[in-house]
Amino acid sequence: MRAPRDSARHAGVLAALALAACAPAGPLLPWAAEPMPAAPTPATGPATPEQVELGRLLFHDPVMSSDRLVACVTCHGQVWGLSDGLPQSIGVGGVGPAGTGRTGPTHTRRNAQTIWNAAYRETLFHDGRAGSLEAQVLVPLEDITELGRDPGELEAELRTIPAYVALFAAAFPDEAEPVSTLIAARAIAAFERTLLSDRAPYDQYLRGDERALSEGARQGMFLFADAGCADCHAPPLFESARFENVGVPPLDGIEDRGRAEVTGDPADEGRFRVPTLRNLRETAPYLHTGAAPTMADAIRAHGAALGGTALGGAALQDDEVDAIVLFLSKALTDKSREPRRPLTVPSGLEVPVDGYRVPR
Amino acid sequence: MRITAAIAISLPIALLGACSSDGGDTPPGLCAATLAPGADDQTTLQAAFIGATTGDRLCLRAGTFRFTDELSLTVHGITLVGVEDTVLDFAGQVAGGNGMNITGDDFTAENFTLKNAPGDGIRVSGASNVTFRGLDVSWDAGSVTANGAYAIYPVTCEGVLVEDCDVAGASDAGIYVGQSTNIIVRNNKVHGNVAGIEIENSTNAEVHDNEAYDNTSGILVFNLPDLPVGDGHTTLVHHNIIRDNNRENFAGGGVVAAVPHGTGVIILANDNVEFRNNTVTGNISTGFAVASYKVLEPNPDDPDFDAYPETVYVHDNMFSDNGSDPQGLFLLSRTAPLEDMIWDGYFDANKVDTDGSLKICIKNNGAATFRNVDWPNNFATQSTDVAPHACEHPAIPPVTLAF
Repeated sequence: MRAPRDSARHAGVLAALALAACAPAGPLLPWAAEPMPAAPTPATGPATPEQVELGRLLFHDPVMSSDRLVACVTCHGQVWGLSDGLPQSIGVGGVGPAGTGRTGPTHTRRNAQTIWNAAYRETLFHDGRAGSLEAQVLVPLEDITELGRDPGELEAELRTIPAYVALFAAAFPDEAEPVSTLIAARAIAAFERTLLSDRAPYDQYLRGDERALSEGARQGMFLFADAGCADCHAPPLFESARFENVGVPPLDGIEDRGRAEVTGDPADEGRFRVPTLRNLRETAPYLHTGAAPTMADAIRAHGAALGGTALGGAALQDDEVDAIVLFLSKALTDKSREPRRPLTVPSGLEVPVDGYRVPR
Repeated sequence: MRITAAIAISLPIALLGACSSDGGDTPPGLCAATLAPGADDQTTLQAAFIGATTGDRLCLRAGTFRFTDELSLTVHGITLVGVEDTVLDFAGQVAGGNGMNITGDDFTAENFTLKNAPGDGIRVSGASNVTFRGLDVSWDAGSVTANGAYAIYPVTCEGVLVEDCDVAGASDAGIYVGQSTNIIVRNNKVHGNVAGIEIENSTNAEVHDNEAYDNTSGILVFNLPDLPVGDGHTTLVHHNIIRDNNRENFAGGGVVAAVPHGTGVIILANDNVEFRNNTVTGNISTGFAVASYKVLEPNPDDPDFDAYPETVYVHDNMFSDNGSDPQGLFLLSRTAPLEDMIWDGYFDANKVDTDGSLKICIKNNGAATFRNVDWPNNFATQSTDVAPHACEHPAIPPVTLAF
């Protein structure tokens, strides 16, 4: 019963793929070939290596938190795709290593976003309330469910740590008073701008290496396009600066108006920024609520409200969802610039534990 | 179909021109690129990795390549092959968590030496069909804590083959396969590591014909909580020689830091493990330990985590001279010497095991001795009677890889 329908639905893809074998030029794509653009240069100009290194240390340093246990990396860890493996993040007061075992008295309203390719974004957070990475950094710093740190107190403490005083001075030699919370945010933003994912097999395929994508992944790519996914998760970034409501149910007891909280526009009620799908495979659970444990769940959760992810007027079948998952997980993964964790940080506090070598 | 055919015809012709053959300094066969050590090996290899095309065979000539940073490879289908005297030396590495960081599918590393990686040696993550063949991975400093944690390190992979490798000095596990499925580890020599071979949170693994000696522990089959992929099961361990794993633990941290030296094999919280036809000798704590994760953490937070080892079958092994001088956690039993095989005595009281399918079964191990140390009752009622474990489980079939 399924076979005829499948073959009819996939006929276009298969015919296109077959044609490609004879066509002389370029990889076959369901959209116009467009390579990854260069990331925009921030208003403050390109960062120096000293600024990036300072940012990396601050990113991993629990001096940033009020309980001196949590750092940026707690919710943006390497093992969890620069997210945290939790539906909602658990910041200060939490117990246990970063990741799925972590528990705590409070949590954020929304799922932690990956910071891969944050360099490309000019609106940050699910509701787009920050206009730059520098501005974004300051929000979790003060949020009582995240780092819970008073910026003034942080600044005062950083000035008492000789190693930081030297690192700030070397990284920002033109500043009269280099050690400040605002400049720490600039350093962390500089570090985050190095977290680029642009060498995935999809990019390789785009450059003409046709075998970079398996036949299954290519089928998934065409289904991804046919189902309308690419309209919002637009290649080559597989995200867009749009705010959409795809019908994700709100969580019990959590009020979240989405973009409308920023614009005040009733039309923006329940709309959220279209996130990147690059390096998606390790960032489960998915959606802004974290309610989808797997990519397949997330794909199916889009749907009715959009009217776009259905194919030919019917919901995606399991094998079609699987093909799209294969495309997303295989074709869009590039962790070659994964940041390394410092063994020690200038505050002398312990770098939050994460990953496969969790001390217990 | 037609695409594959077109490539099959055109590719060898394209590559023939790049092929060279000058004696034993260059790998035989077709090479998409042949790389030789020079003034800036970091740039040479990284550029080759970035510029590679799917299916390329990258050849490394004899000599020592020196690196200052991690090498990363995202392209699928790459074979990296050296000759006997090809050495990749990461002693000067100042950045990056691994010597090599691979995410491309169908990756093969073959026939070279990798040494002195300050972090992990070769990490391959999220890839399908990964082969490590004929690699030597070591650290010039010997077995010290400052060495990298893992030498050969596939994680979240599907289809892993590790064969004919010699791995020494890893401060965690020499050959570590984590959160992966369909795995063969065979014909390797692992020595001077904390753990020789570790299969962790992985499913369907076969570990055979390896020699593990002079490690802190020879072979570990572990399930740990709080990892992205959990609930590993089905591991067949056979025809290995596991001897004299009595090196003091030099791990920098992590679970393996708790492993007592002198332990031949540990099955921790893993289900469906068959251990047969192995030779286990001269390990001073014990030859073979089966334990619940509860010995490390009485109440793991992870609600989905099964802390108990179940369906373990130990049969037709040769045990000798184990347990002469128990170390670390084994001292809690206040018994010395200890037996060849130790069970901590934990089982899941919430499960009904009417048909015995979850039991630890022990059969036909010659004169091998056994002890239940009764950890749950603070070692009060220990027993050396193996009769309660006289049972069998179905044989685990060998692993077949699709590549």
